[in-house]
Amino acid sequence: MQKALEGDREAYRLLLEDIRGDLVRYVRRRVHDPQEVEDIVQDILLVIHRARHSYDPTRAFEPWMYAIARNTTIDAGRRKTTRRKREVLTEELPEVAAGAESSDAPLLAALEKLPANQREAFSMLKIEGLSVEDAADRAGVTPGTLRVRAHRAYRSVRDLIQPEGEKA
Amino acid sequence: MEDLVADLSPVARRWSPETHLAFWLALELLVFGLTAASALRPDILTELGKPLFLLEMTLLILAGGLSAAMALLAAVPGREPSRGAVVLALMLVAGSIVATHQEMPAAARTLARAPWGMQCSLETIGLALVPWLALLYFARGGASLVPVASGGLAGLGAFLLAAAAIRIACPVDNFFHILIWHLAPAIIGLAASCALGLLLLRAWREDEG
Repeated sequence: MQKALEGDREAYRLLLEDIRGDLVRYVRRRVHDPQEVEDIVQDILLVIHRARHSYDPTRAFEPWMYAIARNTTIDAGRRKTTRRKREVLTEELPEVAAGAESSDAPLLAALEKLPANQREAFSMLKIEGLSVEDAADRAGVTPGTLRVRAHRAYRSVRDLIQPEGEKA
Repeated sequence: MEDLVADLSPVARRWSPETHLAFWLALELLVFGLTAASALRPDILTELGKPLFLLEMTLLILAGGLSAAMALLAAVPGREPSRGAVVLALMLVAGSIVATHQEMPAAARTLARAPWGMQCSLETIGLALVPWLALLYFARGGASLVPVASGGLAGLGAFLLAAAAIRIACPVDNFFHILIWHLAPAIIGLAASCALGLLLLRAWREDEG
């Protein structure tokens, strides 16, 4: 890790490969769905990457890494719970889209106002009809992140087109 | 994984929580020094001769220092303070309040006789402000997995030491005056700091998108 902190990419690659197995075993003990395990391990590696500045090379690496692993796994569990609610919102969305079919202009205008990543998530899921997993792969993010972006997009779109509907 | 490797850039070694704490305590010493130089209560020497006053101050300063140390440790994954340490800090505060109560004569333990002290509260907030922001800044440089706790402890630490500092400036010896106008701002500071912690101390892990 010391070398990785100094910017040594080869050392960093070796480290990530080395800890990946430990992380998979750690998460597997807590989560049973293999796909979910994979997602969580990816998230942990991402958090480790973002938090690497906080690692003190004079201290042991494992407590630092497992603290991140534990926290990220707990977060994933919480997200899973809230995701179920979001899935309901996702199911509600076609009504929004269907409502817009009679007049696409408000929907298109609303989409234009969204941040690029939210617009992309919305388009992939609701216009192109991709699955969350495929859309996440294409966007280069985890399914969880894509769901969050899509959820924000749905909420923004609803907020933006609602007044138009009332005016009509 | 390839994306992470490609994204790797050297990172500067940050100060340890212990170094941050030493710096922060030096800042607090400055706050106490400035308070003593500008508004020292006239009977401070008499007060410093009272064991209960010394106990009250010592417990308050220990609680504030411990809270600040925990706020800084909470910014480093794997070094988050235990619940026992948080309970200890709260017990030190409780001990300080009991010492304050015992120290006061019966007449100074009544709410009706507690002098209005908005000025004390404002001064407490003023004295806490810079150390509070410094703690949040130091904690923000880390990677807190518990941003609300880290933020809350930062606020508690800064406001408890500010309450101790105001005690050497304010000449009012009334239990409820101290409780309401010196210590209650710490509760407000704690709540505000929890919210700030949530806002500021998780920025490092925000999705770029």
